[in-house]
Amino acid sequence: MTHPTLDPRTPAFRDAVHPGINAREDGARGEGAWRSPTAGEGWRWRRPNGPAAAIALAALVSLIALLPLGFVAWIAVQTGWDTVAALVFRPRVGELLVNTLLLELATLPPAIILAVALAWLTERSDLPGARLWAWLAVAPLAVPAFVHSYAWITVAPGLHGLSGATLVSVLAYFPFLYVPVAAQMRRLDPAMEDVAASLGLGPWEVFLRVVLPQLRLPICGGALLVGLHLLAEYGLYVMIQFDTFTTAIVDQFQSAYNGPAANMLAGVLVLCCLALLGAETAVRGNERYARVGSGAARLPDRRRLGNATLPALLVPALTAALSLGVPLVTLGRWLLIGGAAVWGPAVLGAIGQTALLALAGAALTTLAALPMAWLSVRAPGRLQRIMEACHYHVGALPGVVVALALVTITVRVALPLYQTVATVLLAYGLLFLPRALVGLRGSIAQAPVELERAAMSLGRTPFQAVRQTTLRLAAPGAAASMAMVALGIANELTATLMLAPNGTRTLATEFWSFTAELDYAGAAPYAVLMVLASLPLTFLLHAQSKRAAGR
Amino acid sequence: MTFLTIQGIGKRYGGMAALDGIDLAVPAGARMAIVGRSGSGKTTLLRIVAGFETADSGRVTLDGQVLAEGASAVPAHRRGIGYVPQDGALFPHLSVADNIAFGLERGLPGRDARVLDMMDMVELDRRMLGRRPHELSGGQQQRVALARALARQPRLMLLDEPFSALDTGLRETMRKAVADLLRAAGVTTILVTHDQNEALSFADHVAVLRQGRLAQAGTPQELYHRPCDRDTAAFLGDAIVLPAELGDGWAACGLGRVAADTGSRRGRAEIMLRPEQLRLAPASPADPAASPEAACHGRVTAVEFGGAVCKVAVSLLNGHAQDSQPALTVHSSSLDLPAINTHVRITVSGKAHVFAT
Repeated sequence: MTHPTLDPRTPAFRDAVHPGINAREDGARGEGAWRSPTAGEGWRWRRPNGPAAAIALAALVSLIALLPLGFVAWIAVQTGWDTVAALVFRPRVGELLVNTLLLELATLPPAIILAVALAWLTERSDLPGARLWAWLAVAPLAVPAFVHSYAWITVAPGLHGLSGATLVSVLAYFPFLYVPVAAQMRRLDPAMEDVAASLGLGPWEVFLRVVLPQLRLPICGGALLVGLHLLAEYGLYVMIQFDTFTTAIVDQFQSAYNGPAANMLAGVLVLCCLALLGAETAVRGNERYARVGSGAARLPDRRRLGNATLPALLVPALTAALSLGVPLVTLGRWLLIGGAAVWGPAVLGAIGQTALLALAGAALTTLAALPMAWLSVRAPGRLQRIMEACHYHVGALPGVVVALALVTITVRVALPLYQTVATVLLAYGLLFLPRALVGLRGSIAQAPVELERAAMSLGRTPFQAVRQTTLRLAAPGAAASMAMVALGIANELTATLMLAPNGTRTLATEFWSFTAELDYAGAAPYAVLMVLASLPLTFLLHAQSKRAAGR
Repeated sequence: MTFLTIQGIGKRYGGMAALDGIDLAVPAGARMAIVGRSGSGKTTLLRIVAGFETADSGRVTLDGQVLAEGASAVPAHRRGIGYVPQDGALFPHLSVADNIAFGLERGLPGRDARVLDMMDMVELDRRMLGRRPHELSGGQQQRVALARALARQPRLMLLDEPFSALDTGLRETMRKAVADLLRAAGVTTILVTHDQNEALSFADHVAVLRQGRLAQAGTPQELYHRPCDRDTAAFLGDAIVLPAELGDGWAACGLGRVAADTGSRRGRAEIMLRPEQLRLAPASPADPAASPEAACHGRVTAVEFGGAVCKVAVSLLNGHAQDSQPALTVHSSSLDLPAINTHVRITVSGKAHVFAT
């Protein structure tokens, strides 16, 4: 495998500079289909390869991702073992550990069942209005977790503790499971289900023994993502009065800005995240999930629900009522109470700033996750596992820890970067790296490696081959993961507050400062805007992910 | 003794008729090939027999049991019909052993032994039991898919182009192996394919589908030598179709007077010869006058070497030939290939087939 160097005359260079133009030429004139290696003057050949470049890039991203963890470790070393032991081995930490564990165990199973049921109903059954229900199953992503809890404590002021936290967590986070599971269901080879039926399996058995095992990868990926959110979420649990490591860490920071106690709690939290990552790796296994065999798969059939249609309709309807109805009704009520007074020019400024930050951050994060996603599917190995862990662990760190690490590092090492947009984007990239990675990895796993090889045999460089085959096929997953990153950034709170240049006012920070003053009516416009801004994006990317998959 | 009966099966997709009144009878223990170009409806027919799709009209009966009548149908998993799709569709999350045992109930006595029997039957090395599908070659995957379907001792076996993903040598080996295996197992089989050679060599009954209709059904010999029309003739192999004047047991055509099954027909008709019915012998240009009726002469215009069977293009020289007559393609052995531009004498062995219309 060789490829030309980045000479301005080579296609590789053109791709790097004008990717869109080249793609159009290939399509319109088929120019790219016939490239003789001897055609270009001054083509030089060297021995490099895709994996080496990807490993280098992934390693660089990994190193940057290690910054916050390195910061925690460095603080721990500075603090000294005796103080560390005193801070970690105490009843309060045990209590938080139990709380966190209970939250994970109570939230994940119902979220998985709900997501799989919704995905099957919307993708594989003749449920009336399946497209609408599919949208409504993604739409709760547009409502930030802390807006979910704001709505629920308005509706049910008595809601608190584990049960309240579980309810709101499932409703706020199940779309993270629904999106990858539904995408995988669209791509399953229906011939396998035919074969299973011809081997005497009824519809239920086919689902349990053929469909469900093949959903293992998206379920594991989605569950990991939800699990990490449960560990890192702050606003939701503060409002619902449920103590987790993250809320305790923020409390510590607020009482003592540079408290080693908070850093030690963060250390334990990192261990929790690593345990979660290990569990996911063990359950996922290293099996191949792309179709075995040649040719393109037929479109899956939809099953007739028949008499079960009405009860089946209850599942998405009830889910939509709880995950969307409750927040929207509550927000509507607060808006009515607030009237015109709550809509000032400040609202407009917040919209623009939020949009810019979200789009720039999402693009950066997806690009940063790409080398690792490709490596973890195409060239898995021990080094890649380690780098993957580097990518993942950072997502479980609460925004405050990442933010404080970046604050300290910029102040001590790179003062010009302190409180700049670059630092905020870096924080976003760190926080949402796992989101981008899970979505990309799942969809790359669906694109057979043979296509990349075929493209290279047609004269594409390794980079072009990946871009024109795997990335094309992975586009649904990539679009989905970019949507999730952008949504996450639009709703991100703590890191934005701490890192953004003075005068930055995003929707989330404005919302939070109003609710902190218990001005729920004043906060409502920002919450509504966050939801409205995210809704079209959610719909658009959902629709695109379907179109890109060829449906 | 008819085992599977297909009566009046029709299926429409939107406004398009995918299948239109298909009638077909498959005797017990037969190997039936359904052959047709892509889009002819052959796969749809197979999927209706398997129970993956329901027909709009018609009836499917297997061994006296009605499987489908109009839109009501026995679901696929209660039919006891084995199915091997195009690329095997092995379950990627299961090992070879688990794939083969997939259709056998858990706790079935002798389950493991049955899996081993199946491995032996399809001639797979037992060491492969623990492997995953993606660690197997294409041919091995197809063997596993076959073993998986056979393990349940199906009443009927459906093969949906199972060899088309394999390379040529392997395809022929697999075709023969599968045919032998199914004959030994005594399983009635339907093979769907677009490859006429595969259909003719695999099956003892062949049905040709064209645009959703059954063009012709019969034994491979019948179909090859006595096709119902020009399209079927051309689909099943190279054909030489000539206009002719029919007499009593002969037909006068560009090749002179050749023997033909004329029956009671007389007058103008189209006749068909297979290229291997024509033989070439060296001749000198002076010869034609010698035997004007019994043989005809031609000039070699092109030779295509093809190993065992070579193709020789010959343009006719004698008085019977019309000017517009295209060159004939004759199959010849590679040993005595004539050179280009030499004169040859053409003789016809066997009888010409007269098309019905």
